[in-house]
Amino acid sequence: MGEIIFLGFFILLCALGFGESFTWKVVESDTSGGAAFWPRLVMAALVICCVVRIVVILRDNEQVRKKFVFLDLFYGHRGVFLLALVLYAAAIKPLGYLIATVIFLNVIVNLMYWFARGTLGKPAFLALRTVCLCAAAYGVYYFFGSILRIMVPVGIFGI
Amino acid sequence: MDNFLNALGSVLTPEVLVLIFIGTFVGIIFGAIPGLNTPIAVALLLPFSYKLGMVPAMALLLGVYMGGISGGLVSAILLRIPGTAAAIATTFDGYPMCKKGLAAEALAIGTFGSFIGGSFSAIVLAFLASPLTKIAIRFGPWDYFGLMIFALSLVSALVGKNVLKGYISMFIGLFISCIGLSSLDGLTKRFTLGMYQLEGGVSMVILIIGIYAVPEILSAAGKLKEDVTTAHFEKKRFYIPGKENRGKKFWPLMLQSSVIGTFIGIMPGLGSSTGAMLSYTAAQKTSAKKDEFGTGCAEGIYASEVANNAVTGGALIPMLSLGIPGDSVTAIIMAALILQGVSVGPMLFTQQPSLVYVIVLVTFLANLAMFVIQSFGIPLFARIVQVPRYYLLPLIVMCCSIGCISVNNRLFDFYVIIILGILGYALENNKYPLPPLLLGYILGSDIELYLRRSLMYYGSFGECMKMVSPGTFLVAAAVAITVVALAVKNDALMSRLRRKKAQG
Repeated sequence: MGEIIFLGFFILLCALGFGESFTWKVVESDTSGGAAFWPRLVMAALVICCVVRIVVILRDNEQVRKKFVFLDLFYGHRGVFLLALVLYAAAIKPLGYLIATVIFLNVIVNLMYWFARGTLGKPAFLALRTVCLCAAAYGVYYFFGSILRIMVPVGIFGI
Repeated sequence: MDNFLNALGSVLTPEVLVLIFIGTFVGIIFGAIPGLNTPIAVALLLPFSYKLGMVPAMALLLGVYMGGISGGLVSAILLRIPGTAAAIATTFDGYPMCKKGLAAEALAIGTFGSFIGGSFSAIVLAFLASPLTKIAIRFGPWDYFGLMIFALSLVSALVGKNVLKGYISMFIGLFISCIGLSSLDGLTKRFTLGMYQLEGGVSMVILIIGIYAVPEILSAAGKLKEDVTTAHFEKKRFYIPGKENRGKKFWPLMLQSSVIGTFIGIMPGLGSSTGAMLSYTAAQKTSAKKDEFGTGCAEGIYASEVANNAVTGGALIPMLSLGIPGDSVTAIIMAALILQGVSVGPMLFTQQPSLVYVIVLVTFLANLAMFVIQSFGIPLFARIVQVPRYYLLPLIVMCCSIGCISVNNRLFDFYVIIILGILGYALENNKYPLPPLLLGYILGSDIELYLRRSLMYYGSFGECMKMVSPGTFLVAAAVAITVVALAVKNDALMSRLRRKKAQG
């Protein structure tokens, strides 16, 4: 059933896209169908494939019952990692790349370490791990920001 | 000859040679670690290659490609977990040989075989790319349209078990390629949702990282407790196969596997894993010691490793001569060339002939580098396979984030890769193949361009189809492939036919 919803999402997306394509202007001298010609072909073909796939699923009871792997992304260790990734992306702008990366690395590595081993390790090892992760984040920040001159986002702290 | 000497001059510089070594090293590591693979490594390095010149960028990416395909043998032999799909057939004999206490010998055989296969395909690449170009240069827009549609249908039909899923994946790729300004007139903003960041479309680098790297990271994050252990083996300085496992008696097998691998590489969509499996099957059929296959024989490892590395050079042939990548890694390498301002395809041979020789030379040198690095560093790579995921995954995310930000100097792209990553996760874990999506995205804008140009020249699609030209033939072939693949790979239809046959 999950797959049908997934395919339904694409059908809906194509329907909206198809509607939007009618607002695009076509130059009179353009005899190739205009900017909407190719996207409409693609969307129509995608909808046909999705509908055929849905029919195939509905005709086979085994396929209807088959689990669609998607929701497990949002719970368990995977969910925690995804949440951390989203928060990291959101934190880069206000905190800056360096600070956000240092926080992200330390939080997620320690969390995942705990998930995998049930402990955070000895205090000395934990301290060494924190130092190494900070060094890794600074190394990347320095290499890309200073050597390759990439404009790394700077947050409210100016770094 | 001048072009070759120019290429030789630009390749034999300390910077390029160092980058070949770095790329190959990184590729071997990514290939060796289960869960990571060559497309991810190439995708992660793509933004950085953009900052390099053309030749250094090719050195880095082709090094990763050659190293990555071969690196899969390390975990395939030591852990029975193929680091890459290309190394699946290597596990059949590599792991049994490892269990016999011959881990070092198995790794040395695989490394040597990879070097032979890769070098053979580099030589074929040097001789075959140019003749193909002479044909391609006569192509018009309709022929190009046909060629691209043919390649897309071939990839969508052959990759994965379900043809329909392959086609859905391909059309999603084509749909994503429509985002941004229209390709022929450049006047209409399509599907931008009012965001100026999408006017240039979804960047190729962002799509590749989002679709390939992020889903793998998210999948691996759910398997934190799966510990990886490794085998112990005798220590040597330089690992080469023993006398009984090299020599003249293996040359016919190596030649056979090289030819199979290179041929499979030329065909778009088939890839290294298919090459290795076909070669393994062929080797088993032609061997005098059929019964020894699967028990840890050298022939089995050679058959797989020679062929999967021979695919690399083969896959570069259609990319260079026709502008159609043979597999997902060459698609990303093609993206790197496009980002460097190179028009890949037949014009490459007239506009930048020395670049073709650069690619051939780098391919050969990367194979040599792979052989040297792996022969020296087998114990090191065996240790890297053990790096726990709780360190590896966050560090890869850090590389992804800086890689995304560096493409357009904006954070928006990092948000896009998370969305694409979720899409990629859903697709990959439900057996929707990703290569058709990537190929659809890469070829999408060109297909539109050539189709609309054809319609402008010839008036209508019907008029185009009436022409006797390679384009018409290729469009017809694409339709035929789709129909045949849908029939052959349709489980319901096949089981119905089987039932009817059983009933007499």
